[in-house]
Amino acid sequence: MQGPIVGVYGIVVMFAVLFLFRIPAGFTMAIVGFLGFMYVTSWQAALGMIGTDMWNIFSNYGLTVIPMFILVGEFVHYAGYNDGLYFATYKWFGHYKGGLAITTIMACAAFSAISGSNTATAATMSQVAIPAMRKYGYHPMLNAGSVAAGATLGVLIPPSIVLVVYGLYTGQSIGKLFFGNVIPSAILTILIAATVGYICWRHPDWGPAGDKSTWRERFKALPDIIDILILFAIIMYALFTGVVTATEAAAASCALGLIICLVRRKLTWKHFILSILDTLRISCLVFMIVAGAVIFGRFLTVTRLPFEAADWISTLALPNWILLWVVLFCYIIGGCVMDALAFLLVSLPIFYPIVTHMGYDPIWFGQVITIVTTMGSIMPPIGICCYVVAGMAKDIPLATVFRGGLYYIPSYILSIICLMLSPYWTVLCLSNLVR
Amino acid sequence: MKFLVTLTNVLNKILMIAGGIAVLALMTLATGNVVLRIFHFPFRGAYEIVSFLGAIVIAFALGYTQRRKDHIIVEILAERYPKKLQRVVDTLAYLVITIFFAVVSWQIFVWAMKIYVSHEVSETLKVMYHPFVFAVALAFAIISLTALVDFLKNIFAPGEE
Repeated sequence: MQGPIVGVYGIVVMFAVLFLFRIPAGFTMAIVGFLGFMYVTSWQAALGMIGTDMWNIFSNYGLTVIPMFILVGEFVHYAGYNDGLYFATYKWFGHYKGGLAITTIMACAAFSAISGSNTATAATMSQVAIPAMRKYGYHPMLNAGSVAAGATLGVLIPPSIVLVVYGLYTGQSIGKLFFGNVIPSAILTILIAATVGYICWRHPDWGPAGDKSTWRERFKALPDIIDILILFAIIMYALFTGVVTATEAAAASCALGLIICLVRRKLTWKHFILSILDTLRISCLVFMIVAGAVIFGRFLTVTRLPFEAADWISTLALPNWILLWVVLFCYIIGGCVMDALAFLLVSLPIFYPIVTHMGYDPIWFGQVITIVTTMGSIMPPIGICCYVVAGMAKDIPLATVFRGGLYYIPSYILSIICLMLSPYWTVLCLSNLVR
Repeated sequence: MKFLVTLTNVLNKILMIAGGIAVLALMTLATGNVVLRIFHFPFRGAYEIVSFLGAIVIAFALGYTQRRKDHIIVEILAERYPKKLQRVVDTLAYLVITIFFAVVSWQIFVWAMKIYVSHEVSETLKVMYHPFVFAVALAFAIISLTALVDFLKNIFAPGEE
């Protein structure tokens, strides 16, 4: 047995191991990739590949951006910016029906502008948003669902770890990916907020309106948002001008974030240590998935499966957009049954050549795929954001969180349709500005 | 058994401290280089050192992350297994992880020896970089050891944490 069919068997074996044995996703990809590579080439070649490849992945300059973006998010998380952000957004949106849920989503979006992780956003925002909405008598489904949906913005809004990993894996510019993401993020945030409006219209008693704040109170609450905006602006400006690398932009925002937290006396020694430990831990698990995907990708490449599959698909007499929806459907299903980032990396070696072969822009595809991946984190049965929210709000059952999250699924689908209708005006008009 | 558990815990703790220092050094160096560049004094070797520090940051967290079982596992089917089967599957998984990372550690060690013997130097700074490669090999040996301890614990002392 040789050629692409070995790759197909490899994929089947990899998924079987992933689902049946409790071996971490990154390790599974690396182990099956290593054994498959050995089968196609030789024991000696596989040994040589694993040694040099692992070192090359670990010492890859591009990948150092991952711990830096995680670190800045952790500093902000442990400094307790969530309270300030929530308080400030409440002053602006709290007086509408469902205002606290809209506040949650907007505060999540603001927090996501500095944090690249949805679980960090979910954990952070749950602490403030859930008790606040409970106090005002919000329905548990609207309460927990809005936090879970808002938290998904953590992986979408730059600096997004999913976009960074996608960019590094496919060799696309992280600056272009971040800038291309601005409009899609805005569309999704507005649609999620609009969904809250729809829910409150259908169920008027689910989200009672809060007290109205004066303009003076609103402007007084802004300083915390300004800190976050400064950090976000630095990252985006640095990437826009192209004078610094993504790692340098992230490191500089980290250093500045640390200084701001220290000057404002927001970060204790204990929280500083915790943010470093969490950074090492989260970076390590993201990295191992990337390393596993690279090794699995090596195996698929020697079987020639990705190229043959791309050729085969181009011979099908189907319009590209239908094929694209087939690919997206695979991501939705994949996102339902396994961790979204892991699935993204498992599938990129297979789908990326196919999609680029169909003529889609890689920066645009990155945005579409990130939205789909984002959606996976509130989809049952393993949507990670819902688990985090249910874990933080002990009195709200997991099923209620998932049911609350389902209301927001159409927003993601609508965002993808918007991106498909006009790739230029939604993504490329901004990403093309980056040098 | 107790000795092995304590040993891996201590080793992982030491590596985490070193990793923590490395991540702060990485942040300082990359930021410092941006500032130096503004004043037209870029540090040419920053790119290389940042890469090496990045390797240390990630590799040194491997054992700790494995110890805490933080790596992402797909549990949709496995969590429905009966307790006994779950333990068997876990034991098997630890064994596979132990062997695989022992192989990885061995091969990175072989690679490190190769560049040590040939006195290979980094491209820009022209310095020996084999200590970093040896350090990564050591980190993989420790994740292998951590998984081995989990394996032995599952066999000889099930139910203990």
